[in-house]
Formats: sequence, C-alpha cells, structure tokens
Amino acid sequence: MKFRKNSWLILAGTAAMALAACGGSKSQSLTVCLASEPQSLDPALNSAVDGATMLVHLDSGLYRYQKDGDALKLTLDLAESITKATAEVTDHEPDGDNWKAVNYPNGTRYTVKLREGIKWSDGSAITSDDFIYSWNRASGASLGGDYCYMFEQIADGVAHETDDVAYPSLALKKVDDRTFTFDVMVDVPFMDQLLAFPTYFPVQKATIEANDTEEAGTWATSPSTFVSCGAYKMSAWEHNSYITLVKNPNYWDAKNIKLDKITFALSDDDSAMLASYKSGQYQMIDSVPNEQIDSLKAEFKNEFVIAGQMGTYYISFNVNSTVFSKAANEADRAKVRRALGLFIDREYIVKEIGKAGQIPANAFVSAGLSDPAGGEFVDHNGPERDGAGYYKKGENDADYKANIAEAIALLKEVGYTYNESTKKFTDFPAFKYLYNTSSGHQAIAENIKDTLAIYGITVNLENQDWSTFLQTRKQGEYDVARNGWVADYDDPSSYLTMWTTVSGNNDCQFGKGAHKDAAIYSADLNNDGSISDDEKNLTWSQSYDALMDKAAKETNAAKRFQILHAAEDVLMSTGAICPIYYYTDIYMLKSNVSGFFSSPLGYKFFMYCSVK
Amino acid sequence: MNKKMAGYILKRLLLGILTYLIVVTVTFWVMQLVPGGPWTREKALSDAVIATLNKRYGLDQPVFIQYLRYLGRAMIFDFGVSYYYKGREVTEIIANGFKISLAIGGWAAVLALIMGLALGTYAATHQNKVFDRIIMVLTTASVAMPSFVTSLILLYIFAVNLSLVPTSPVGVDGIGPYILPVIAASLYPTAYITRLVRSSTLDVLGQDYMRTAKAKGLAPSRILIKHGLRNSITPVVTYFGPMFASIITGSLVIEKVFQIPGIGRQFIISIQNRDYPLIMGTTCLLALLLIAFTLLSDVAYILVNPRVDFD
Repeated sequence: MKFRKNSWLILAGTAAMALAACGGSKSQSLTVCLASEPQSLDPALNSAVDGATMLVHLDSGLYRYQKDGDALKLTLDLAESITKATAEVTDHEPDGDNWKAVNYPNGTRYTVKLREGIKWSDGSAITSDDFIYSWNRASGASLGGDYCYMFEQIADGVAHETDDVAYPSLALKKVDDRTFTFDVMVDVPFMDQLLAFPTYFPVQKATIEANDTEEAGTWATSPSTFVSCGAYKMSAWEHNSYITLVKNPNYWDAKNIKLDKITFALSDDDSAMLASYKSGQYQMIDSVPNEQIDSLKAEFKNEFVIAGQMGTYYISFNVNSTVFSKAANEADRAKVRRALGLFIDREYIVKEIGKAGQIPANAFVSAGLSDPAGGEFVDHNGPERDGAGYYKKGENDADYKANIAEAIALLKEVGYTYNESTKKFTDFPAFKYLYNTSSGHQAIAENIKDTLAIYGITVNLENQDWSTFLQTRKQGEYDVARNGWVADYDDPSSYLTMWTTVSGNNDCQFGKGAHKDAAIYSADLNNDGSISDDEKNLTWSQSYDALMDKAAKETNAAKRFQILHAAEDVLMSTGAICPIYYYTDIYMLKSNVSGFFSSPLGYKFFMYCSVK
Repeated sequence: MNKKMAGYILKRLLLGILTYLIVVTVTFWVMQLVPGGPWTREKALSDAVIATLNKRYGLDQPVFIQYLRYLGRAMIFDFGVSYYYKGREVTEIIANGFKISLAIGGWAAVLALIMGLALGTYAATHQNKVFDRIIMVLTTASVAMPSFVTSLILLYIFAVNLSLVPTSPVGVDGIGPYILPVIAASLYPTAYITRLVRSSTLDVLGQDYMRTAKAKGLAPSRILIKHGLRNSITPVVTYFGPMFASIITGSLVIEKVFQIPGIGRQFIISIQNRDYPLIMGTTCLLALLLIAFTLLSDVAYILVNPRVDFD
C-alpha cells in the first residue's frame, strides 16, 4: 500500500529532505523533541502519535514503512512472507452472557512466516509464540489498552476461560516456531497497515511476566527491563526529561539503519522547544508557537516544514439540542445547522488564524486518504461523486457569497425573520459554542462569533478544560462544540464508524434520544447509485448504521467505497458535522539532516537520517 | 528547649496533622466533583475496558469506601500507581520530580536570602542614593513581571543569543542548564526580601538602641550586623518558611520554559489528566511541606524575636 503524496502533501521543505547522504564513519546522532513524557511505551498501551513514533524505532511489526520516492510504502519487517487464502472463518459475537459462533464462508486466512534468526534486543529468539501472546494480550479488555479495538478485524477464538470481562482470545494458530495463522472475517484493504501499527508489535512474554506482576506496562518504564525488537533499544529514560535510543545490533536489518543514536527530549512547551532548536541543541521539533509561524516561515525557509496529515477540524452539533426553537422537527434543524456551517469563513480561518497551510474542508473524511481506484477518497466525495464536497469551500468571493445566500435562504425557509435593510436576522436564538481551553481554538471560536454576528446571530463562547470538555461533549450536554478527528489508518472507516449509534465517539448523539425516531434519511442501501422509495424516510439506525454494517461486510473494495461515500452523504445531510479545515503537520528540521520522512498519520522516521 | 516551647510545638504538630487531614479530604471530594475522569479520552474507551480499569483501581467501589482507602494511604504516603503513566508508582514519580525541584528551589532560596539581605541592607543604609533607587526599580519590576516573561527573557538572552548556558538539560552534563532556572526562581523572593529588609532596616536604624550603640563608639559594620540585622531580619523569617515550601515544590512556568523535570509541572499535568493518585500524592506533599515550614518559620520567629514568647 502506498500513500500518494499530492501536491499539498509535498513537503514544503523538500530541500531539507534530499536523498540520504552517506553517513561518515563518525557516530551519527540526533536530538529531537516531539512532545512531553509518553503515557506508556508498552506497544499495547500506547495510543499517542508521539509514543508511536518512539515505538516504530524501538520495536517492529510484520510490516514497516519505508520511503519510496515521494511516497511511503509498506514492506515486510519481521515477516519473511505473509500469504492469504480464502477460508471459512468463524468469529464469536456476544449473545447475552455467552458467545455465539458466526460463520463467514468468504473469510481470509493469513499465514505469517517470520524471518529466520530474528532476535530480541537481549539476544533471545522471536517466535510465533511471541506474536500470539502479544496480540491476545493487546486485544483483551483485561489489559485495558486504549487501542484494543484495533484487533476487531481478526476473528475471535472460542471464549477463553480466563477472560472474565469481555473478549474471547483471538483465533491465532501456531504452525511452528516461525509460522502462525490468523483469520479475518472481511479482508479489509487496510489490514497491512494494521500489521504495521504499534499495537500489533510483539512484546516479550518472559519480560512482561517477570515485571508486570503488579501493574501492566511496568516493564516498559525503564531501560533495564525494556526488551525491544526493532532498529533501536532503549539506553536511558530520564522521566519527564529525555529518552535515548541506541542502535540494536540484533535487529535483522541493522546494517541499513543509519543513525546510531536518537535522543527524544520530552517537552510540551512550544517556546522552550523553539529556543532549544534555535540554540542548536535540538535538531528537530514537532511544534512551534502558533503566533510565530509567519516569522519562522520567513526566517527558516528550508527548515520549516508543512506536511499533510489525515485529520479534520470541525464543529459538531448535538442533534438533540432544542436551542434552535423555531426548527420544530429534525429536518428543519438539519437546515439550520447546515446554514450555520455555510456562514463560516473557512478561507479566513486557515489563512489568518491557522496559518499552517491547512486546507478549507467541505466534507468530514479528510483529504489524504487513499481510494482503491486511485487518487483520494475526497476526489470522489459529494452528492455527485465529483470531489466537490458538500458545499463550496468559499475559496473565492463568489463561492463564499453563494454559501451565504444559501444559508440565508435556508434560515428563512425554517421561519426565521430576516431584515432585508439591516441584512440581519432579528429572531434567531443565541446559542452557546463550547471549546476546550486553548488560544488556537479560542481564536477560531471568536472568528465564528464575529462572522455570525454580521447576520444578527449571537454566539456565546464557553471554554472548559480538556477532560471536562470531552465528557460534556460525549454525554451530549452541549449545543454546539468544536471537534477534531485524526485517522488511525488510511481508510475512511477510521472516520465514519465513529458516528454509528453505539459508537463511544458519537458526540452528535445520532440515533440517541429523540433523534432515534427521526425517520427522514435517504440512503443508497442497495448500492445502485440511486435512491428508491424504500430507501427514503429511514431512521439513523436504518440508514447510517445499516450502511456502515454493509461496508464492514463488503469484500469488494470498489463497492465498499461506494457504500462509505453513501454513508458520508447521510452524515453530511444532517448538517450536524460542520467541517472547517483538514489538518496539516508542522515541524522544523535542521537543513544538515537528510533522509528524514514522516507519514500522514503523524509518525516521524529518523532511522535513515544522516547528519552532515 | 524549655517546656513552653515543647508544648507549643506539640500543639502546632497536632494542628498540622488536622490540617493535613482536611487537605486530603477536601482534595478527594473536589476531585469527585470535577467533571471528566481518568478514562476520558478523545477516542472513547469501550465500556468493557472502562469496567476493567475501574475494577482494577477500586473505582467501582462506593465513593465513601474509596475515600477511606485514600485516607489510609495518605497517612502512610503510599498512593499506589499512576492512572496515567502506566506502570509507574506515584511515590517514585514524586520523588524523581521533587529531588530536582528541591535542588533548584533550595539554591534559589539561598540565593534570594543572601541577595535580599545584602541588597536590602545596602539600600537602607544608602537611602535615596542612586543605588537605592536602582534597586527599588529592579525589585518592583521583578515583583510585578510574571515569571513566564522573566524566564523567557533570561532564556533568550543567556541561552539562545549568548549561548552561555544550554537551553535544556537534555544531553548536557553539569549544572549549566540549572543556572537560569535557579536565577529565575530566585527573582521574586529576592525582590520581596530586599524590600522587606530595606524597610525593616530603615525602621531599625531610627531606633534608640542603635543611637546608643553608635554613641558607645562601636564600628558601623558591627552596629549594623549585631544590633541592626537581628532585628531587621524578623519579617524575613516569617516570610522565608512559606516561601521556601513554595519554591522547593517547583514552578510550572519555570519548569516548562527551562524543560526541567520537576514536580511543579507534574502537579498541573496530573490535574489535567485526572490522575487521581498523582493529584493526591502531590497535594499531600505540598500540604506537608507548607505545614512543616510554616511551623519552623514560626518557631524561628520567636527565637530571633525576644519580644514574643511561646504563649
């Protein structure tokens, strides 16, 4: 699988990333700063992007990312070969207090053959038992890892006696020390990416059993007990200060690893990071103070990099909010929400507030995600599948004016009074916009407030600290709130599954409360490109949930993407998702460092770097 | 030590324990009231995972039981493991951070005391002269300017532009990276002590016993040190205890700007993460230090000031 680099994805600092120069005989090292102390470096417990970057250096999986021209490709890492065959696959689903077997006649069996002679950093052999142990450990709810759901694609085995909480163990079978098999119900196109995802990295059973007697993850907190299987091993961890990695001579591909030592400085203060970068102490920093972006772009032309990232900044509306009182039913509320979304001046927000090359967004699934037919998912989004999205981005005056005209018309349709001479609405209710405390979010919130004020609409701003904010949003105790989502892997399902009724991330409260009975949605359930009478007036669970269920079971990639587009149509018809922009990833890298690359998921790769 | 003094200290110790219990109790119940919890994530955890974690850490128990357990643990200063930093003991996290904050804060306090006494006395004895004016302007500025401004100014001048010291302790041996944080941490107390000493010295200089000492023909330096300082230092003694407790428990701003892995930053992060055991641990430490140093300060105040006794 390749990540296609589009024009917007092309790294602004291409010069900094020229072809890897030959490293001299001198020891090569880098000090970089991504973020503060990671929560955990146990691959099964990590859920952060900065932790994932450290883990792709410390550990390895069946696949790894490598640079292929301007794109990234996945190549085999610890595996010598991975073969697939159609097989009847049995999965287990909850059935009351028990588990019931469900058969998938067209499932896929993966056979993994590990490389010969692969070793842990302590010199012992890596075997198929390690993978079986690690995957069962990481996927089980009893460990309590954030990302245990990343194993949902893999079939469960028969319920395990010791799993007292939720999941049975995975259907993994050892063939011999170097070979094992696993079954997937539907061979999703992003399976290779999952096999390169840190949660799927193996951990050493003996180390964990010896150290994690009291608490999971203890083994991964000190270099003395951190046994790794990747290009590097941990040599120091001064908590809250830095983590040092040195080359692991036992890694199978150690001869191609260029950099001898990486020090990850642990800080989250943009100004302090920038000071250390300017003084030359750090060679790479992953964030900069927002207010200095313009001057840094000018001062460090070859070192300031804006890379693509799969993520969307958006506003979510609570569909059960009754703040828009004149909108008596869900269909009217959808019009009001869409209208409010149309008023927003995305172009101004990205140019004057974001300043980091963000792209105005007109759909929920971000730019940068691949389409199996070539190009990107966004190239085929929108009701016409022409990549026009769900409204005009407002990149020029005429487009923005058209958006405003549509917004005014929609609100009038719902019954709000528009004074043609003052060009303001006179009876639109004031509403509260919630954001988490941060100067960046505040600037956007203030812009939205000012923009809507032009049309007589009053927005009251309220901010909460991060944890409180997350809870308020998840429990649907808000009217309108800022939101954001970054993909875990390059597939639209990483975005769209979050809006099913049962999803824990369904902040808009679709299919819950009063919204459960709103039968107003049209969905192309037959996947024939048109909406028949049977496909109209459906509830959320009959439309969106049904589409996502179909997508999860569809094995044909093209058909699957059609279903996902249809699901995005339904989602955007609610007006409850108001996209603002697609994220970018800003970082600074010294111009004497070559061979660096990053992925649109935000991972940074230093192992092939040389320093001149 | 006389009987009176022992009684006073015992009374204050008992009061201290009571204060500690109140702090533990208030912190626990405030934590319960604050929305959001340790398992709140942007990408939501499944109900099964949350149930496992609650069970593992006893959060599935009735709140009052949780409170009693906390109370017991707070008495022996054992707060278990952090909910956020997987596999790490709270006492270890606190010890790691505290030893650094203690070192920086300790040196800053010493620096502040020496500089404050010297500058304050000098300013008082040279009242309304040029140096007195300069010292007063500088101390006013140091008290008024927020520490993120002074810290960033120090960082940019001495570490980035002049490269005299490193910008962060990462990959650097020696005390270089700690010089600026010590100075930054000492600015406010230095200014405060200078002003305290200046005004109390001015007050003392006008006293009759000073004139008597002078009339006896004692050397000016001896008058100042033996008769003046002992009296002018009293307000500093009162200020020093609580100031010391606060300075050795770290500052969020200074630790962030100079990338110091101290406990001040840890405390704020633990609140943001709703890391209950770490919040409890750091709060208890802060409370204990404050109680202890206030007591020491009060005892010292009585010792240096013969006009006050232990009643």
